[in-house]
Amino acid sequence: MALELNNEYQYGFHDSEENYAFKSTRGLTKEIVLSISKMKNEPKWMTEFRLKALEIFYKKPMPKWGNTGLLAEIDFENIFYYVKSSEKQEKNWEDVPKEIKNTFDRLGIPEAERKFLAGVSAQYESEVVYHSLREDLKKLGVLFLDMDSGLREHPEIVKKYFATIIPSEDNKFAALNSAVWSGGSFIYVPPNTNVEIPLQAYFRINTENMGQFERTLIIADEGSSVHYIEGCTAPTYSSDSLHSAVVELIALKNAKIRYTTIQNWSKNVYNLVTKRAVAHEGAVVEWLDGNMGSKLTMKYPSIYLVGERAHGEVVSVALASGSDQHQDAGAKIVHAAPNTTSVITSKSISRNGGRATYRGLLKVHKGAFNVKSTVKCDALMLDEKSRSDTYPTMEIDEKGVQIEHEATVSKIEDEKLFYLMSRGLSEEQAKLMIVNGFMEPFVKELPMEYAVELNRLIELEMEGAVG
Amino acid sequence: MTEVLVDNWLEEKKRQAKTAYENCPIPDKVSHLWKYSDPECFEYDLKNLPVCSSGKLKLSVSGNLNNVVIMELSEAYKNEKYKELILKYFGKHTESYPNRLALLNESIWSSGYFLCLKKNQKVEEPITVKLSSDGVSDFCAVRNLIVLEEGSSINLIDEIVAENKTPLLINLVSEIFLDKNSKLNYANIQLYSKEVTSHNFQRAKLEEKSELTNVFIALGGKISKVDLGANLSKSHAQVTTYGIVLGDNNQKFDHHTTVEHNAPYTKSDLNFRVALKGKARSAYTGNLKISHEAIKSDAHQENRNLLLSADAKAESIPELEILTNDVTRCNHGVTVGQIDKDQLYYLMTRGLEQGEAEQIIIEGFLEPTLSKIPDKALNEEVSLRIKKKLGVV
Repeated sequence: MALELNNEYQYGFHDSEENYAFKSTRGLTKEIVLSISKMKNEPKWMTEFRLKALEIFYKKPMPKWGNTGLLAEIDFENIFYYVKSSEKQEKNWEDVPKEIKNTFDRLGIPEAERKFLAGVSAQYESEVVYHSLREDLKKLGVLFLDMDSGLREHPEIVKKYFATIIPSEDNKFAALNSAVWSGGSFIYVPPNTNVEIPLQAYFRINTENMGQFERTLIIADEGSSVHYIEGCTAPTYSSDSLHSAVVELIALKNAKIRYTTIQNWSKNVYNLVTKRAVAHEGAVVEWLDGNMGSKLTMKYPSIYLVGERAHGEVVSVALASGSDQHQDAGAKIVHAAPNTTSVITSKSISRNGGRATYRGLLKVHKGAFNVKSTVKCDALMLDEKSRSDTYPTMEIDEKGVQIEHEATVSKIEDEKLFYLMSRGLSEEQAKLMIVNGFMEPFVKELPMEYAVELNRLIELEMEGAVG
Repeated sequence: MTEVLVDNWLEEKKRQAKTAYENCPIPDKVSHLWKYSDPECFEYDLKNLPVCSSGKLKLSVSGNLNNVVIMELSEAYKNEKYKELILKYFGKHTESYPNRLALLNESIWSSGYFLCLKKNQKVEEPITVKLSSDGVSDFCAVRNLIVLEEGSSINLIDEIVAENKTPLLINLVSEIFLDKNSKLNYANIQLYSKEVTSHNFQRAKLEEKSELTNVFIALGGKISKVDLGANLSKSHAQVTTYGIVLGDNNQKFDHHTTVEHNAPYTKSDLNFRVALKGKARSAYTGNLKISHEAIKSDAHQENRNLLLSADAKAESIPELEILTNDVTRCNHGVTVGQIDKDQLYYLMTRGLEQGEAEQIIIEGFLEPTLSKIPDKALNEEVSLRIKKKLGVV
């Protein structure tokens, strides 16, 4: 079988930019923020929210931790903060512009959509151009819209929850997103409604130097459940691109939200994302977080367990490949109520000079007694050039707790390799098998098509790992 | 360097350190080393010096002192026999690991010892160095220098007593140099009164096949910050660190360890056990670095915290920075919990009162570290003090 096993970025094609309906200028000013808000016909409170966030963005310093060297290279003046690729929302796949369709065809989206997806909101540039929602979901009363339409059509729900989990003051990049956000998903699941099919959105960055600032808000009302999948691919470009999303999840009493991400940005993308969830009484929130691409990713999905018996889980994998890639990922869990439980499982692989960092926080507030939490970080290093860091933080203010943290760093063991090779596998196959086994806890949680895609990505990445 | 300069060398060092100290900013609380202790707590206004407020810690040594050189550091410098060693080693670590509080120490230290073992000297019986405060000063800077020459070995115990009734700030710096095949079993027993704030900065450099066993028992003090660093610079060097923290009332403990594996086949092991009562607070931050050259390294880090009251707080940040994949073993573990109810139940079914049973569990929790104190009598004394603190005797 002829696989495309070259080191070029797999989806490294891009469309011509002529057909863009609107293109803003580089840099960030009050005028740009105002024109974004005006163009979207937003209510006054949102315009004010954006302007206030812009002020906060100007005032906030850059983070003093993490890969400060790479962060300092971001040139905020050289970024497009808003690009709109077609004038209006498309309802049917047939109406989607041909050029855009071609891109999605090559990514395999239509097939996935035809098969079993509930809805696809394909974010092409900063605006959602295609959106479909299956009839049965509509009947259930589930709202699955892009964020802009969500604000237009359901302002009362948006106003009630928007920015309540991640205020603009949270960090510099959250403030930036709050000022210029565009697109993203808005999901509301009514009480006691179980959305059986995963809701799914594809994201892409296209214009050179164009920032993408999605804003996603998911509300699962009492006793409901939903699984949302976000996957990214981006074409390769020469100068750096910034991706800074804000994702807020709210799981009300006894609700369940699972959020799956696999990001595979090309290696010129900064992926600086703020993701946070609140789990109320008896609620369950799960983040499945896969980081395969980008130049620098800083992403720490958080769960605030604010109601009794809430449960939070983060399963993440990171693959840092090549000296031009730093995956700085992790998880944060805050126990703020009694009888809450959490599990963090982190797997990282670094190869070819790549750097994988786990950075985590586990906090138990006073009064949150009878808390149980397990944090497990495993790192696999495939060569002597690579680097693996573990920076866990645990802050425990209550006595009735059971906290366990464990981390290991290892290489592919010669014994395992020898065993597999003695069974007739080549060294490459054997290594791939060991790596796949290492990633298993993450991969097994994914829907089948994603698991297949991820395995194929790993296979591509592992190409040339021998010798 | 002229003769005159050599004579004034230590004074010159102090002057240089003072300038460096003044130019060194107060640490940023953002850096994780200072996240849990206010750097201002350890500052001392140099303008108060040399007023008599600065005191010396009285040094007394017990044990069989044959073959051991131990004396006040300032005396050793005046002695032609040791001057050369001091010129060679003094201030080397504070130079390699710039630290504002170590520079403060270097500019005004007034007491502390110099310990040296000549080549192949092996001292079996433990040496106990007792440092005691005069009880009236409000500040003292202590400086120790430990040099073990090739093939030598010793069991050394630092017992630091400060029964002060008024606030006292202690700034302690120890520099340790272990030559090839040497072995240092070091124990630091901290028995401060609750008026004492202390900063203890220890750095050790280990040559080929040398071994350092570090035992830190922290029982006293109001705020105690300990910053330990070991550089495994040559192959087969090995460091083992054991810690016990037992806190009650409003005590604050902040322990930091850095272990740098800079050579192949180096080994490190660390076990920090913390038990907290009342409103006591402990932070443990560890940093384990394995450099690109340190192949076949073996590193293990373990921190266990037992919270005995609802108001106690424990923080733990054990960090790993690994730059080679060819490691034998590299892992760390942290647990935070309370007394295991099953264990308690088991003991109570055997007829023990709840208090007694808890007692036994806590002692069992601390035992693995306690048993590493190299001196039997001292071990018993520390055990007794722990019992007292737990309110048993």
